[in-house]
Amino acid sequence: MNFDEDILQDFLVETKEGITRLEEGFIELEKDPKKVEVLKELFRTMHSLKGASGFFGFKTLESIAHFSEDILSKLRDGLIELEEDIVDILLKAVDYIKYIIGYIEENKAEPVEDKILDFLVELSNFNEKLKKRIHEKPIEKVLEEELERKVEEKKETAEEKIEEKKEVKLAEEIKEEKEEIVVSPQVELAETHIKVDVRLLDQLMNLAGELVLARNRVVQLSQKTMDEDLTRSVQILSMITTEMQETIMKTRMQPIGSIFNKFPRIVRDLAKALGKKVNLHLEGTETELDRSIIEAIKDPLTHLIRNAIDHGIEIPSERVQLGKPQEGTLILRAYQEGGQVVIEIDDDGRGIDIEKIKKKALEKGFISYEEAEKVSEKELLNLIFKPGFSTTETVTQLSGRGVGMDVVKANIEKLGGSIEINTILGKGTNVKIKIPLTLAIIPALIVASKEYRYAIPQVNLKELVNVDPEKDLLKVGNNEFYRLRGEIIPVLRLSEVLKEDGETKEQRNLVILNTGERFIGLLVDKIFASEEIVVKPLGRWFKNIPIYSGATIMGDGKLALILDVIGLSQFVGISIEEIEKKYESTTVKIKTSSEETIILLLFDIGEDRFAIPIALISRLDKIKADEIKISGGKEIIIYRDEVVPIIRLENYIPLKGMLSQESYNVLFFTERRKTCGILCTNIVGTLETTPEIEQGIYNYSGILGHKIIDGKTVLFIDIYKIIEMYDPDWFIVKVEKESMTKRVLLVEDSPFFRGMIKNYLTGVGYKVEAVENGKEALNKLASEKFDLIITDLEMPEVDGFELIKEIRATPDYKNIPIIVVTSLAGEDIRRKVLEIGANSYEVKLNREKLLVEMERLLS
Amino acid sequence: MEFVKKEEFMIEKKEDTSIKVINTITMVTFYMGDFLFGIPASKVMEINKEIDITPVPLSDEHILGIMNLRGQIVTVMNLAKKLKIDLKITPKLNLIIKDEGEAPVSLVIEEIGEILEIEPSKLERVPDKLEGLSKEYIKNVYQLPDKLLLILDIEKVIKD
Repeated sequence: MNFDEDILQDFLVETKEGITRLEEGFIELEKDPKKVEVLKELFRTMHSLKGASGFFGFKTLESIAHFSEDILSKLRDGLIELEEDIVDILLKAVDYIKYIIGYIEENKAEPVEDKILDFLVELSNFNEKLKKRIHEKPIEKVLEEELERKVEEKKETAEEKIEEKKEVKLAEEIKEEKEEIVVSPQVELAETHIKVDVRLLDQLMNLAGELVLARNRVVQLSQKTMDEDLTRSVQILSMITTEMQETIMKTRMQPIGSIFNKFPRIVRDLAKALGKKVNLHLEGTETELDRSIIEAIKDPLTHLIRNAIDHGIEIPSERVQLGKPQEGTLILRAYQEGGQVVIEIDDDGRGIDIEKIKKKALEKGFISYEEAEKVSEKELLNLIFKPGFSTTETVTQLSGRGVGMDVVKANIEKLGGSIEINTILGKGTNVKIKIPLTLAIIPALIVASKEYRYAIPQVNLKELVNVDPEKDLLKVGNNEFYRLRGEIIPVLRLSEVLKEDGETKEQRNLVILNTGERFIGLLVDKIFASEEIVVKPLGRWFKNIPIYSGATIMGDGKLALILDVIGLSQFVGISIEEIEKKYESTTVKIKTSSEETIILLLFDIGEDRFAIPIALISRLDKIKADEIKISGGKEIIIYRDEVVPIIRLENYIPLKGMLSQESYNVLFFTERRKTCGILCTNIVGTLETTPEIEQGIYNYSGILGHKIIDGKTVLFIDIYKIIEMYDPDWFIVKVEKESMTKRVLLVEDSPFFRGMIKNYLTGVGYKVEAVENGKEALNKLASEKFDLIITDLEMPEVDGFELIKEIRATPDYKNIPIIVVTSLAGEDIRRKVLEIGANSYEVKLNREKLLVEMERLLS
Repeated sequence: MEFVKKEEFMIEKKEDTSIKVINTITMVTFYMGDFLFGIPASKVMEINKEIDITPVPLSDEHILGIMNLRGQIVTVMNLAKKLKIDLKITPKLNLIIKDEGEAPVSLVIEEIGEILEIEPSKLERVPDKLEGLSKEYIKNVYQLPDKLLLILDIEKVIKD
């Protein structure tokens, strides 16, 4: 600011006079605190000082004068008593004023020093404290004083005018401007914001919840009475209640900036310590979150930012070499997205080296060599979140020993959030955290066990399945499992977990839950709707019960416990290991294969009944007889714009065949994008059964065996053989020349699978030797040479696990690739078999994939 | 979170009048079978007849469950079980106890007794011959003209 030297000089002189008056005045006051005249004089002096320093733009001086004036006005109005601490602070203020004036005299500018700012804060806080003292006084007294004050004020303004006239001499032309400056913005801030105890807000929140319940009851009652006026008032009540609840929730919200703003300092210090240059951008600092979440998110964020600077951003010289700007960019971004808040940490550093992670994972045994070949980038990146995984080769002090990321993930998941990493090598890394807006209100699925309701947080929910417990659940010992699209999921019955006695109704509702680590199924009595619930904590008596995370009040005022999915999964923890042990042990299980089941499709051709695993059929449909056309001497139909050859089984197997019908059922079989249809009279239905069959009576090519089902002989057809008979070239697509002569040892106890797999392998040109169990396999291996072994897991005598271990332990065969085929598709088992040395793991009926795997392993 | 206004019990008034005379403690008394118990009135939040308790499976035996007290989740304790009273008790009332800094706790009791003023100087040690309940939760006894008042160690009952 440019101002006349003379005016400044006048200001200094006048201020110095003022200071002397102030000092004298305070000392006089201490002797006689009730001297109103002295107080008035002091107030006026401070007021002029404030005005003048504001005019010159001396902000600090102005603020000190402002607060002092404020205190003096309270003393003058008798709102507070003059006590020692007040005199102390006011004298201190005079000292600072003196110091500042002295500085201005020399430098023509205000000093910028921490101690002055500190004092300003002290003064401001002291002023706040005094305000509280006033509030403690009884109201009547204050009112009386208020009246007195008003009278005083009138005199005051008159006096002030005289005062101002003097000043006009000094700065007539800028008078108006001065008055604007006097009204400091800080004063307004103090009036529009108040501090409120968080507990008070929590209580308000509770009461709002109660109000909602009361409202709901009133709404129900009004619907009964059907009174128009009542209904209208209830509607208004309802609206106001909702609005109030939302507003109260807002009081707990805080801008995320309150923690974001701490990061510039952290980033600066860290970058400096590491010799890096980092430019931090904060975006969306105004995004609001519940205060409890803001608190909880701070540590994970700090950790991620440290990681980004320590591991992500390169040192300046390296960046220049790479053609990047010297200064690295780190963006901390927050925004709302569909009821959640997303926080992103984005850096333009070196990115995460996936290969390095892979190497590390192998070294540390997180994955096997076989897995390493198949594992996706995403899966590898997720290894970062495993305990004990760190990618920096030299562990730095700053980001610690890699203990962080698993904790970061756990903390975020505790909040009901999720974390995701995306990275481009050499370009940078993006970490995305999604967290709910509030912990207090979450969407949840309401279920019931007996007559009580329970809430399951929606974030843990995968899907709902309607099951028939008798048929759809597999039992191993006391443990139940459900097969969800090939994956085996342990099943808990809620009533059993809760140890509820009494009769269990048939439970058909299976809730599939995601614990983050795996899926579990929870069988419940009933499923209600999904609701927004208010989470309330449980008392300390329940802290040791892992399956609850709180309780909530339902619309009817009754309570429901909130289930903790991770806690629930502990109830299956032991049994999963048990089932694995069972598969490992050699002593039990003689009829293991009886537990293996397949779903068969039963169909009739004329009077004969047939069965085929439904997994092999791609579609079922009905066609009219006149849709069957003859083309090139073969029967075909046009199905979905595709020419599909039709196969009549009676042409290949001695059957009576069928009479001509108006319409037929067609079973479609698709492989390698080629489809054919098998004509049949009618579809009987599906049946889940063991793959045990009898052989010997129907020794035709294309029939694997038979079984009596419901008193009728059912023939199991070998679809591969039949299609081959129809068209010997059907499957010969791209079988490589080499593998034609490869010898395969097939170890499978079920004659059904053994026959089928052997047939289709022979069909594509392998030489297949089939044996019934591991023991026979080992005998065979001792006398013959094989290029590949395909084995089942569940077998009598020596099972698949034992066999693999034995093979891998024998130098002569330890290099023969092993493919495990099983009907037990499950991630746990897959890991298990790969761990003990199998090269691949396939589901039995997936012929196409098995062939691909064989080609891969033999090449 | 204290519902200060709900303490409309005569507690406060009594204290006011008694200050002049002797320094006494106001006790809320209640029956469990033949036993008469006392709890300092300052600890009692309210007495409530509505017993709609939601059981919490897998919790300790002496925990009956939880209830909804105007939006707060209150843990309900079976006091008879906690004190190991071997009498048949039919719980009828919830005696809601304040728990510093936490949600209140409810003790189910059989019958509410009088509100009494007792003189702290006349409190006696728990006699050895007291039988039929677990003595560890009884702080003192107080001889009334016709009965022995058992002063409950309420902190211990709810903190244990």
